[in-house]
Amino acid sequence: METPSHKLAEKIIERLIREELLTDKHGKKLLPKLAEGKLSQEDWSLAIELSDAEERKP
Amino acid sequence: MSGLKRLTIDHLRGSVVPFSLTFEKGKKLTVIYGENGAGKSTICDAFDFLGEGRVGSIENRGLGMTARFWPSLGKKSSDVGVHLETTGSACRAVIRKSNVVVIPPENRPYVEVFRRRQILSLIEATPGARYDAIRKFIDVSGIEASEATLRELIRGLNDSRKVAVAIVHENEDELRRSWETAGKPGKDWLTWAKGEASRDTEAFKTEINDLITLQAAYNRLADYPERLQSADQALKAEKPLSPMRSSASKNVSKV
Repeated sequence: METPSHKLAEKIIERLIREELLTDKHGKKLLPKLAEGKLSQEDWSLAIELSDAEERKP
Repeated sequence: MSGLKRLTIDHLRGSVVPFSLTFEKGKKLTVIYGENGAGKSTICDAFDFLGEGRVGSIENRGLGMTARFWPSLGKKSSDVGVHLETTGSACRAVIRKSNVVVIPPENRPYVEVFRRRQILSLIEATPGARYDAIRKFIDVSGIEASEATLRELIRGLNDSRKVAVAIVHENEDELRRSWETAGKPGKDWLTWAKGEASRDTEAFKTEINDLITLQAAYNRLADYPERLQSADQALKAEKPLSPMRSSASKNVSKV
């Protein structure tokens, strides 16, 4: 069953991907932890840095 | 997210004969209306039975243990069953040894039933109590916790940025001072610093080696002024030198 947290997490990740702060791959990986409140600072920064590195690849 | 397809009720409360309710495909909201006794509450009870293992419409009415009222008239507990089909799965709830059992258990749906008396008490409640009552429908505490972590990360990054900016300013001041010491060559301190940074380091190495050699030579000569002064003093006072000289002559003769 999808909780309100899961639904909101989906919308947040969709928005972050649309704004090109996260790639589709790294954004979807964050989703379950985001909804459950288990995202650490390292999780956030790693996802953003990896997404950024992938975006910069020629 | 899965949608509701069909709810089938066998002999629960008012469902004297098996009854099926088919939900309209793709709709998020279903409105059920009908006259008194049409079975609206039985549909709510069926969801309650499936999700919570209870029948809320007859609870708290001074009836004591209400399970004996769950089967419809003339039926036994073992005749009661509720079957729910969704777009992604299906499950069935039955009574086994006075307990409601959902098969398979992992498909038990999450159900919240708001009954008339709960809605009325919600209207009368203070705003705080009202929020507590509905918070399970809008609970996003997980997101709030993740958001707090992100805010903490941003705060830390801002602090690191402030430190980095301070270091850059210090380095700029140092470069400006070096530029001034060098006589302010070039257009400005930054152009000069960039030029210095782009200089061939091999040329620096030669200069450094020359300086090291020069320093070593200076070190070797460091005590010469003192020795020269001693020699001068000795020359001026020749007498004290004579015994030394004769002793030296003897030594030379021996050799």
